[in-house]
Amino acid sequence: MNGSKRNVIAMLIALAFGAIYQFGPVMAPPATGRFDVDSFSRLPALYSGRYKPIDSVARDSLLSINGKQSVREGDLRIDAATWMLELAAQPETARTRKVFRVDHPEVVSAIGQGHSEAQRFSFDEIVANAEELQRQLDLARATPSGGRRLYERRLISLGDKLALFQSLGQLFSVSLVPAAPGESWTTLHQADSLRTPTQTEIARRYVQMLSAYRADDPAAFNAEVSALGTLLQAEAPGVTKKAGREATLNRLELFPRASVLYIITALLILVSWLKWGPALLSAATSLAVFALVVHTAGLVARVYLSGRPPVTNLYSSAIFIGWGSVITGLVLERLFKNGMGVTLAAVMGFLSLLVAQGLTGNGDTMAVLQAVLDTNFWLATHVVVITLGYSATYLAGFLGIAYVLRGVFSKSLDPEDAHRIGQMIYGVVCFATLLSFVGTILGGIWADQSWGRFWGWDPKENGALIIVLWNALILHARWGGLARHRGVAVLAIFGNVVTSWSWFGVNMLGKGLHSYGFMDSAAFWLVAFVFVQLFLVALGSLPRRAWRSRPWGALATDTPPETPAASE
Amino acid sequence: MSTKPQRKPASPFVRSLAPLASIKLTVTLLALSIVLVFAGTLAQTEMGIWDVLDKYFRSLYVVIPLRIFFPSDFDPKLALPFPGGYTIGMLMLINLVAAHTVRFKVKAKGGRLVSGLVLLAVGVGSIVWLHNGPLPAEILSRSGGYAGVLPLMGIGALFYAPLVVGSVLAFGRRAGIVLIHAALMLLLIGEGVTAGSAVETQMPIYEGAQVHWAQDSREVELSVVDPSDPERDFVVAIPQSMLVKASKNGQPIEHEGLPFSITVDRYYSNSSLTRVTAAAPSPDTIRGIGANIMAMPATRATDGEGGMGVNLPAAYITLRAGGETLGTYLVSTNLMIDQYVIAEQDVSVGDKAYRVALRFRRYYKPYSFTLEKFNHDVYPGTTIPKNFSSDLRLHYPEKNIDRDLVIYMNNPLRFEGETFFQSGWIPGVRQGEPDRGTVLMVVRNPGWTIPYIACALGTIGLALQFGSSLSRFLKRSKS
Repeated sequence: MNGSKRNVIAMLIALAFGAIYQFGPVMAPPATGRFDVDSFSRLPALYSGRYKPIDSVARDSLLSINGKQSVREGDLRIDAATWMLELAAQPETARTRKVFRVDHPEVVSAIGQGHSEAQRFSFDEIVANAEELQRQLDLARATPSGGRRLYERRLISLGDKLALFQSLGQLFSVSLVPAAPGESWTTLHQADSLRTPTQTEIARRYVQMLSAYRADDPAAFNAEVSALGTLLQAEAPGVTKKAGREATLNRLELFPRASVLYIITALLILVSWLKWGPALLSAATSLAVFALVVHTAGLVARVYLSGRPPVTNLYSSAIFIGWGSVITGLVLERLFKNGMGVTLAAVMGFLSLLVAQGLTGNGDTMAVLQAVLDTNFWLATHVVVITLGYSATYLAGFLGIAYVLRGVFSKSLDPEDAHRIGQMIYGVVCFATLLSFVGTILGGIWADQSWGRFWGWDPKENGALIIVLWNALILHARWGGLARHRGVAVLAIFGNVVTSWSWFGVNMLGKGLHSYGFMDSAAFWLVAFVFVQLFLVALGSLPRRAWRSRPWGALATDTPPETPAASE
Repeated sequence: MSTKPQRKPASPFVRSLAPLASIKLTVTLLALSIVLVFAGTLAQTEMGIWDVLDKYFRSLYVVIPLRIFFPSDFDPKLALPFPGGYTIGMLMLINLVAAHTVRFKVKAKGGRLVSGLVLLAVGVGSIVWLHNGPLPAEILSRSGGYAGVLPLMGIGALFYAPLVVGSVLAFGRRAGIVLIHAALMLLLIGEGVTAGSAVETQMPIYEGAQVHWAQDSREVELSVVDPSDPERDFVVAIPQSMLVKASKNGQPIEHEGLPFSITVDRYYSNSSLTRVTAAAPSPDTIRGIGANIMAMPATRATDGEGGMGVNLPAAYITLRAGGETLGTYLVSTNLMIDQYVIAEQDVSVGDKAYRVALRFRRYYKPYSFTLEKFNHDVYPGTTIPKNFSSDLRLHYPEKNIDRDLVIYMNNPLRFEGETFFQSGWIPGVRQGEPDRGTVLMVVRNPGWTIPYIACALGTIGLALQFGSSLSRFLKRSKS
């Protein structure tokens, strides 16, 4: 009685903490800045083929230039919208802010900062010797794209960022003025396409707003922003409302916060192994459930805003893989109640959101889709199912890791536990087989519908096929008695390598219809991950005497593995 | 191990199958297939997809160069002989059939067995009828492409039900596994059928033009056109295999429809062209374009960025008529006037003019398409394509067809056993100019429905198998 009361209290504390952490910053009254940048950032714009709030334009641009969604100078923190406002209104100040992340030493030398130890430079610093920079860029671009070295690729990428900075400052490609239905929105520069008085007024007010900011006149600025809000609401109500909601979503930072909640969950579990086991475990479980709610809210909001099924690119696949594994982990926890499920949910939730975070550097995570992908039906079926298949295969792999780590480094893995984990892995592999098989075949049917070829042996298709084959191999090895729980655990760990290859590796080949293009740093992390997995496979294959646990003893209720083939 | 029920001693035939049915063989084959697929994926970095298909997946064995497993600058100069796709696929089929013969016994007896077998037969019949009939294509095209997949699945379920119920009656708890394995066999067979019989061609149509053929860019033919009849051209096309053979044995190619004999002096399976320079002039015997342009052999094409590599063969051919040499000509699919128009060269025999060209192999159709308009939609304010569509007029006098239709992304036309997909477009001459035409992909694949059947059976089978495992597990963990 006492114990269960303690558990409930622990749960409530965890939930309260989660809620405060998630919503606290947003509930706080908006910083009483003199300029109402918040309302400015909610105004809608058409940028890269999608309607979004200025806040998203600013965040995505700053992220791709700076690697972060805000600028930090000493103690001063400038948010993305303010940065963009300054860039448009007071370019000479913005050009001195150190926002360009340049971390390749040869590129740093090429911009004449070879003796500097800084990693971030201002626009003025970089273009100090503009002629030389242009010459270096021309040299790099003259190399055919396949044969460019890392230096050349980084330099060209810097050139692109400089161009983005300039075009953003001029608001060249940001269309701010709504148009008649059927026509494209216009930028402030396309004065001759301003047809109606409302259009002219919106453009004029934007210009006045910028001069008010430049003149350091908050009252005038706030008046213009507020008038713009009203005008746009009347002119393009749907787009304006959605843009405001997207800005709110940006501010909530659901995924980064969910990932912190997952890591706190994992830490609670870690402590629970040492002290206050049951209470901390129930606190951890409820915190994981809360994090899952935040995670789910983010997914749902993305589906609503983009009007697309949850997975449309690598970023969203990482978020979805994490979501799937957390749910499955929590379901396993409910079935087995041994702390394994929630541990894995926390670890995989955190890792997948970390990977997603690393993938945001490409800019807009809800970017419009290439023509052949423009079909919600197949995105909702094939892509979702195959991504859940990845998710299940990873979960089996992480269960395998838990088995091996516990077995090798602790004495806690007794035959009973080993058998249960073996069952968990087996169950998850079954699901992984089902999902990856169905997902792969659905992909084949999409291909048959789209380009008349059920199976084209394209790298991404092959990657998915290898996952199916690998899961089938694990199942058959178990049914045939070639592998018992330790063998299955080790095979499942290698499943992580197989899945990562299919998810990321094939994209790096730059071949085939599925390749999305890729960054260099991801390749490094992929290789590192693969080496860790191979090390774990080796660890799991150590001779029995090297293990501290003895998981292979007979069970009291020992039954042969379930074999659909053998049991007559 | 559980106690084994008494059973009749197996016949010598069944006993001899035992090694083939072994689950160790299954695991080995799965492992081998994983390595093969992985190698076949990596090989695509240095080989065109069609060459990879022929070498790795549609072959009995393959010699895998080990360098493909290493970063680009490292070459251990070793190669590993490995079973090819056909070998592994055949062994998997044998393994599956043997396993079902040896290990999977029909458990039902009496009326249950009879009704199970009857339902199985009815099920197979109804599925075959469904997929060979016009119904799937009808449903798909009536609902507008992929949106028809759901209704197709719904209607399909009715046709699959007898098979599923029959196999549950006959095989009991084993029904799931039987269905999964049946699906796998179908997939293997389907890929075999595709390999053996699918033809993939393309149909480039300029805006306003009427086209009644499709071309296969993986094969060429030498065309000799007699345009003297104002009504229709008379064409003799010499297939690629004959050209290659003639280039090796030096025998002239002769045919009653040809006004001259053709000797293939040289044949390059892929070529590059250069201008003839004063330093290295071409021989006097060369006529036509070859006097100014020279072909040189090139390595086989690999896949370009996001597309299929196309080989552009070239040949030097010497034409002779009535003991007189008409000249040596350079012909090549590389001699293009425009992206989809290959230059033809005039050859005169007496007072009659013929046109000669090496072109991609053409498949003539009894019907034609006229491109009325090609649409290339982009997302607002960008150049990112949102959709491609072709407004076409289909003209088939023999069948009284003369109507308009639209083909767009993810929405192909299924017609006369072939499927027409929006595949590409012919851009303007200069950047910024409007597009000038469309490229349709035309696929004939008699086995195209097999994967649909396999998908349905496999999904049902897996759901049965894992669903029953799961429910048993849940029951046990409750008790």
